[in-house]
Amino acid sequence: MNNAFFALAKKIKKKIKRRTEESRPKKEKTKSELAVSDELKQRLQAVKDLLGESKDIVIREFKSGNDMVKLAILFIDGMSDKATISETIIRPIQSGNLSIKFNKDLSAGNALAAIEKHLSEFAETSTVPDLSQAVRQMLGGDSILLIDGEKEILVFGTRSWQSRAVEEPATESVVRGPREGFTETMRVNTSLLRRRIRHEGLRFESMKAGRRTWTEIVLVYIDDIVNRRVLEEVRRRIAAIDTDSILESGYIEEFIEDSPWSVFPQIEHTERVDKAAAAILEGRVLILTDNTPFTLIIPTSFFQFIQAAEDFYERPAIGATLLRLLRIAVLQIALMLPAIYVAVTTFHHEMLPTSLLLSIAAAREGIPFPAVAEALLMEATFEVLREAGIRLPRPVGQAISIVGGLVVGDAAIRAGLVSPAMVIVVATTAISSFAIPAFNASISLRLLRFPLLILAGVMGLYGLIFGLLLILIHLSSLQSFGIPYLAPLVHGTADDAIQTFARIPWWMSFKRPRMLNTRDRVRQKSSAGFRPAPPDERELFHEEVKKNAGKR
Amino acid sequence: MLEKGKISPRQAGELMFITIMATVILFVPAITSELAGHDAWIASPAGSLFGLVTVLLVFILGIRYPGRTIFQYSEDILGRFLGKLVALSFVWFFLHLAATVVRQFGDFLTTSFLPETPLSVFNFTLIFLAAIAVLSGLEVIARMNEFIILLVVSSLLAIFSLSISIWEIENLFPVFASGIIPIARGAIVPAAWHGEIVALAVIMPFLTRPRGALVSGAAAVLGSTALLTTALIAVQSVFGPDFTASMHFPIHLFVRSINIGRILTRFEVVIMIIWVAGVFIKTSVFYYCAALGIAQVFGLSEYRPVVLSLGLIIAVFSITLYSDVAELAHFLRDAWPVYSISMYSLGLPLLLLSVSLVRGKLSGEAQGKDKQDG
Amino acid sequence: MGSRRLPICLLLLLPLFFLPGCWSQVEIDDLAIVRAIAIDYLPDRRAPFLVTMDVIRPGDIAGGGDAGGGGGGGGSPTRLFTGNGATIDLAIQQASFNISRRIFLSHNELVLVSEDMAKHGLHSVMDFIMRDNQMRLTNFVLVAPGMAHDILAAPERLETGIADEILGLLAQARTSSEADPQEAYRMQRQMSTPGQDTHAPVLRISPHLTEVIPEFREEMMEQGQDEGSQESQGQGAGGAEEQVVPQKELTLAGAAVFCGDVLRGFLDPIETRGFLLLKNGVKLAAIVVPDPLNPEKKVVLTVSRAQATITPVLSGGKVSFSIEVVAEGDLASQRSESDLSAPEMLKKLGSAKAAAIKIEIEKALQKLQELESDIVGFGAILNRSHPQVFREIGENWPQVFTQLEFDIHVTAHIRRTGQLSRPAPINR
Repeated sequence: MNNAFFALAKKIKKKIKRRTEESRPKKEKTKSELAVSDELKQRLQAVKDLLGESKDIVIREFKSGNDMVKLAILFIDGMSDKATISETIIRPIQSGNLSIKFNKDLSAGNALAAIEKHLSEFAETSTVPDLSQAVRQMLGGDSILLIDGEKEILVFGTRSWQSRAVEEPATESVVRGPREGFTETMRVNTSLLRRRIRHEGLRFESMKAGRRTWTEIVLVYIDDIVNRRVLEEVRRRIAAIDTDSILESGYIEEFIEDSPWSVFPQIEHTERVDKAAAAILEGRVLILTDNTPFTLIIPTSFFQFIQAAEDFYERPAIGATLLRLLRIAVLQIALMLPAIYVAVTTFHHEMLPTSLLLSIAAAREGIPFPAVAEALLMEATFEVLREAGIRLPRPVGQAISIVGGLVVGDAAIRAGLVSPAMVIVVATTAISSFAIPAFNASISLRLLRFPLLILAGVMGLYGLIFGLLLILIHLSSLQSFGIPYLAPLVHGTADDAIQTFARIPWWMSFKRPRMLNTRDRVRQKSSAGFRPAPPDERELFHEEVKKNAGKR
Repeated sequence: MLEKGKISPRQAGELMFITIMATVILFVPAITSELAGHDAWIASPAGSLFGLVTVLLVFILGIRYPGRTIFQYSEDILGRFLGKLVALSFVWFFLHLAATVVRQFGDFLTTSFLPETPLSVFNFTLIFLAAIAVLSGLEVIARMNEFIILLVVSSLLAIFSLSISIWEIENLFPVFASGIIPIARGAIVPAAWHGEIVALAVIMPFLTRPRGALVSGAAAVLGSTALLTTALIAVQSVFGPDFTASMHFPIHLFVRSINIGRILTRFEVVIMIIWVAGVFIKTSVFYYCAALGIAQVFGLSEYRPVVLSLGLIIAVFSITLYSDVAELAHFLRDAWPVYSISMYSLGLPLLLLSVSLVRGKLSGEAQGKDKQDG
Repeated sequence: MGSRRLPICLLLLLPLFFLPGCWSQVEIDDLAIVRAIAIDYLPDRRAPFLVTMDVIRPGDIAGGGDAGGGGGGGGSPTRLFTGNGATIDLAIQQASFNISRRIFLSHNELVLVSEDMAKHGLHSVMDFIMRDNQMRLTNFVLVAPGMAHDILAAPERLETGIADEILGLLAQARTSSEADPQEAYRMQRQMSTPGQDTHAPVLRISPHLTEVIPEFREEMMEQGQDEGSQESQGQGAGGAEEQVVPQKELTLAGAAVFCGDVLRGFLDPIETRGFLLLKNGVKLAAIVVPDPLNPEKKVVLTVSRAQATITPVLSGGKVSFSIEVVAEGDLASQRSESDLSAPEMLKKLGSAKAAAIKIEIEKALQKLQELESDIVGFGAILNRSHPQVFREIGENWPQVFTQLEFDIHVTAHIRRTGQLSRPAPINR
């Protein structure tokens, strides 16, 4: 029995070994082959070996007009613009009618130079010395032109593919403000940013990450504002990423975060272009990732959770400031309300006003569960409902949430399973967590709500404070690329604090937040007299009178 | 170094403020009322200002030995053996303080809020929290404190403002009726409490700007004096001095008595919340000082390994040092003021400073070693 | 110190929270919420304290029509539980043997003390209120002549539960100025201040007007038969022929005055008002004076504000007090039909009011001196301004108090006369 088993194992091992040996040397072979030869046939064969028999890789061999030069253009169908290729690359070279002069020049040996000279119509060309590099470019959507006898390879930028139109981000909608969101195409995203910041200091630094995905990652910043140390740190961390694939900016986020195990996100993400642009103008670094509309903003602080984009477009004094304070309250409610309710109704009855106590007591007559269990049950049910609501197709989603919320809740009350007060608490909590602008915050808070609830159920308000202090310890030690997570409350100045918690009018906002330690802090000069003032009415009136007096 | 963090003078001041204030406001009014009667609200500011003396002593010592904590410059001043002895006695001071504070905390919570819960639960959970904070470092404690101090001060001010309608100022008079002696006796307790600011001697080397310690320390003492006096005035104007003296926690009962329009009432849980936060910081600070002290006296490169064991010691002491509330009260009222002032807030620092000055004059060196290593 | 140890420590500590159970946890429906306590003292017994607790039945309060239905639809939503013991808390403990829930005192707002209890001394009551963890210092302490228990047993009229009824009375007492509600902490403070005595309002059950005024009785009986079917006093059937007992009324008026913690006697409502005038506690007092133009008829003036300044006067080793009172008020009503709108008239009325006020104050002080109870706090006032003097003579302040002389000056103003300037004429 054992022997047979061992024999089988040995066979399997051998097979595996052979397979890996087979695959390994081939790669090495072709890599070296790719580098050496300039003969077209060999190179084409090398490419075919490397890429396999994928149908969407098009290899078009053709000759130049005077039949002297053999060329091959390679591109990927679906990622390159075929019309452009045939019109502006193949036709001029091949068809004699169009450029006789070109073909006169053309001879073996100077083909590359000739093509470069005459194919100047094409907007984006470059040369690469190496076939592997060229293949890399081709896999990104460019088309490459192999010339028999020439070592260098021409690369044409013919990228074109189906992509989503620029539309309003689904998760970050505002009442007032632009409705443009990033798309999955890098070039579109960069253009969206360029349109907003037409300054020479705007830089796009490109890096690639992911061995198999070769995803393009672009760091965006304004050179004369940004904090150099943060920028350097970001570069370092991204360069250190060595992984198989980067499919979404979330991957990058996890790789470069200070504390990946923390419940709280230390990197902000957004789909909105105006928010991204504002962040860059504040001196932060923006990370664009190919194939995802979600961009990352570094560094950030905890109070990103209370800022929404339209705060900056609406009236400052009342609207935005009060709204921000409201959001702080909402944050606390979303985190603590069930815990407070359980703690007070189970341990600290002396806290409630008498009439409230009596109402709750009356409502809870005959409920089978203790308050903690009831709360946990309701919260869990609500989380299930919420997840279900996200997954359901849109037409059905609305109905289900209404059904779930109202009918089931009401039925539960009537059945005597939960008390009405608890339903109110849970509903309020849920609504509050929807009111938080940042989506990743609500996830964090949702998660934290449960331990706090349990702690409150065990030791009342003392347990709740215990939990809150633990969270506070964690928040206090959290950093986002050198900026304390609780800035500007911690280590900050009053100016920063006002800018974070309230919103001062634009004509008063002179400096960028100090906590970001940017190089150029001045947004506008204080003596510019920007404060808007209505023209003196009497003066205006007199002007009018004078004018009209003349008329009469 | 043992502690890589740096805190600003303002953070240090805030830290000291909460450290003093957390228990002062709860315990001192009763004790001072008992000793000084009507004059308690004069005795307590008078006594509290003694804290300024401690600040001055600590500041001068810290300037003469930049980058060194009191554990380190004790050795510099008094030589290895005596210096380590003094440093160890300070370590004991902080340890003892931490255990006492934890005990006060547990007593208050079990008396006033959750009577069925055993004392050890509160003590252990608090020490646990403090241990995590201490392990995270001084900077983290200071950052948390910035958050907590906002909470504490605004709640207290709000409560005092709300309660003004039930104050009856006449109850504060007559003053100076019984002469100076009761005032002096009443002043010793707040003086001892404010002497706790000697912890600044451990923190001063970690300031970004050590010279700022003078202003911050003074601000902390003055701030906490102001708050304590306000509390005393509030409590005495509602309850009168004799009644106050018979309570354990006058502030607690005071807050319980606020009842405006039958709606603004039942605030004592707010007291509990801010008090837990405040005592947490206070315990963390003393715990930290003790841990750092042990590390520096015994030449360790890191204070973190000591933290857990120290925590256990504090936990056990907090339960066994005082068998009942009477012992605790007796200690706080009779033994501790003299003990702490004569030894730690005044005695030893004064000794260190004088020896240092004498040595400085004798040998012509004005400064101790400069390096930051311990 | 690895970061791996910390999570393990946390994990080890976690069961600490859950295993022993939650000590202080009480579900709301396990609470017996006490709203009022009545303390009686039965002397010459081993267990003299009789405590009655008014416990709410939440089910009766909230759902009302919904869940309650038949059953005790019209009955009181509270139940009384009594117990006796050697001390107050022992009495409560004894009562707890009869209660199916846990006694919860944090929402108790009233402590009714019987006359006998007060005569014995309030010390034990105060100790109970202040030492117990759940009792709040803002409890109102009231004295009831007779048995305090009977007050709690009285049916309520407007509110749900007798406790709310009494609390409502206390809230309204400020407008009548004939009773002065005192919270427990205030009373204790007054008791521990030298030269000051404490007082408490008096709550009594008074017979209905129909009992007192004979003309009423017959009419009420006829009416009662109609209302009998609506009054849900008894259990429904056979109510038509029963005599409906007119409800007893709770009256909050007057003050019980103490010396130390021992009850000395009572001030009737007018005397209480005189006292309140001295303590700036008057909100609306009605003073009746004769009409200057028509002395047989009466005019009613109000005092809406009275400010009293009390100063000790030391002369020749003797202490007396000078009292200055300034009172503001309006003309409330006239029985006469004379025109009193002229300024001189108002001034005359003012002096009449001042005189009346002075008499009230004098009467009050006289009574207080009789009872040896210095609830105004003259001693404390003396102590504040002249502590040495007080120390000398204050040893036996109650005695000294009885000998004090008062020099009272009252200035009273009439500011307004209501909607009418003079009585509307009637043609006869």
